[in-house]
Amino acid sequence: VSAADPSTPELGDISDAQLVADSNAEGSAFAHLFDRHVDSIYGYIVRRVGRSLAEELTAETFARAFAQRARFVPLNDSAAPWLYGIATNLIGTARRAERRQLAAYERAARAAPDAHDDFEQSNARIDAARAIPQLVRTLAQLEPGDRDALVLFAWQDLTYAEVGAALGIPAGTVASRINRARRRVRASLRMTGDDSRGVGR
Amino acid sequence: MNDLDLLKEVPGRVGPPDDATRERIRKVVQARTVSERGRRPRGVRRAGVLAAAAVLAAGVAVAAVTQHVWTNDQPVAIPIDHSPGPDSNFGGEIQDPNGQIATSAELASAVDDFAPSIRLPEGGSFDEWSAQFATHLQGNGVARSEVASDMVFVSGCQWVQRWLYAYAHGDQASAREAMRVLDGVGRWERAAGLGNSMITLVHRMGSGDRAGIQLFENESCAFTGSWGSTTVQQDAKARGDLTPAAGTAQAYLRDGADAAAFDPGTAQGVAPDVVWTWAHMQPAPARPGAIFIADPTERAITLVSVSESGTQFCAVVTDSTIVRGTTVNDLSIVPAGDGATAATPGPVTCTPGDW
Repeated sequence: VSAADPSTPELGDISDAQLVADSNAEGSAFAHLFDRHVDSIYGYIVRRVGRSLAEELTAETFARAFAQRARFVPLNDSAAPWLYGIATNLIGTARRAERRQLAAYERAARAAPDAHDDFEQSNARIDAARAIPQLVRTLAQLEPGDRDALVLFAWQDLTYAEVGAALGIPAGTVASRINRARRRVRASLRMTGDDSRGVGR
Repeated sequence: MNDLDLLKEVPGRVGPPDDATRERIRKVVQARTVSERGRRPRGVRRAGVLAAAAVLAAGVAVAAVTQHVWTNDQPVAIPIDHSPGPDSNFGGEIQDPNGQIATSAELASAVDDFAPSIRLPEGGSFDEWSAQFATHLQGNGVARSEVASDMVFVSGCQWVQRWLYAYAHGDQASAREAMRVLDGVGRWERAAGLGNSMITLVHRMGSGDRAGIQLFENESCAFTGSWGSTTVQQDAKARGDLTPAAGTAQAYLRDGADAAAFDPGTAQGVAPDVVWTWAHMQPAPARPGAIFIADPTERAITLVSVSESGTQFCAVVTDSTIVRGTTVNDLSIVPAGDGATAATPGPVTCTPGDW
């Protein structure tokens, strides 16, 4: 995966699906796919397992994608769900690191409201900051499959169909996993008095 | 602020990696893939080289399998060890096959070993695939696990073809059977660390996404030599030959080159694995296994691939589009005269089709 040639004409017009197909005939086309998605995949992995493993797992994600590219099934021409799926499978092998990362978020969030005694902060924002430690703890207690679906939906803004493609499950199963996870999250927030008001999506 | 909004507030969101980090990741990926880049990806054996393949097929053709160990519930019965970890190789959980093969005879032996464990549709075959695989061995060691994973993928492709045919003809029982088998294939692939592609396909079949399935067939299965002896499989092979050829023509046009100058010599230089021909080659230039370059229009290259079934598949390629279809033009005309000045069958009318 050498650096992609930025002078390639009309690269923006070429879909991910076409790039993957091109890479079947000419492996170097994969470099464009790397450049297109490395930032978001890296960010996703960092948020889930921390920086210490992020480089390694990001590289592994793309190496596996390259090896599996003949099996790629395009969804709306985007390779993002496919790459998130590979990354999520790898995160599944690093659950201990994920637990450590969530524990760190919980500690950080507990410290945050006191550290920012700022009159400019809205009450809602302060309430949210106070709710986050409990939310993170609940996130850590979810079934891994439910957590995967929820964070792909909430953090990465994937649709149900895209989450399904990433995890290899039907959209209906995605919906039930996310609903189950959200019920647990909301219940835990109510228990601590930090009710989640309104259900947007 | 609702629960989803709160989730977004969880710490840990980061910006893009800095340049140094990105380059370190790129180098690792590069190192991991460098040994792959000289070869086709697993599951992909490029179309073409059919003459050589035909010769080799005699040496590696798989005998008809009369004893099988797959079951209706388990269409792939090759055992796997456990779920893959970050240190395992692609498909490295497949049992047995840590050994390497390097010769056609060893390939034939491996195929014989695995074939009884993999369910194919009626008329399905590993012959074409194994012949093409043999051409890429070239004395290089290949893990038996790769042979196994490729064979499973090839079987999946033939079930995909079966589904497409059944769906197009309203044969719901056959379509359901194909989906059931592919679901089993997908579960095995997932357990072996080979990704979710077949499972995803089954979901899309369930939602009637015929176009999406056809796209997969065109772009992935088409490269595998995954065809057998039935009409639908022969047609799939012809379309499969056309797919990389169309990609080659499009890459040629994207470089700003002249459509009229795209001839077999030029094409051969770009994609030597593909067998190219045109009306100025005699006799009978359009034939199964070769890509026929029709008379060009101003900005488009028209390519034709003939199936053993007689159907002529075509693709009209511009720098930004590929329109696929069929043609009934008579391409078997042997031009009068000789050389490049001879009369040709003329422009080909490619009627956009459902593939």
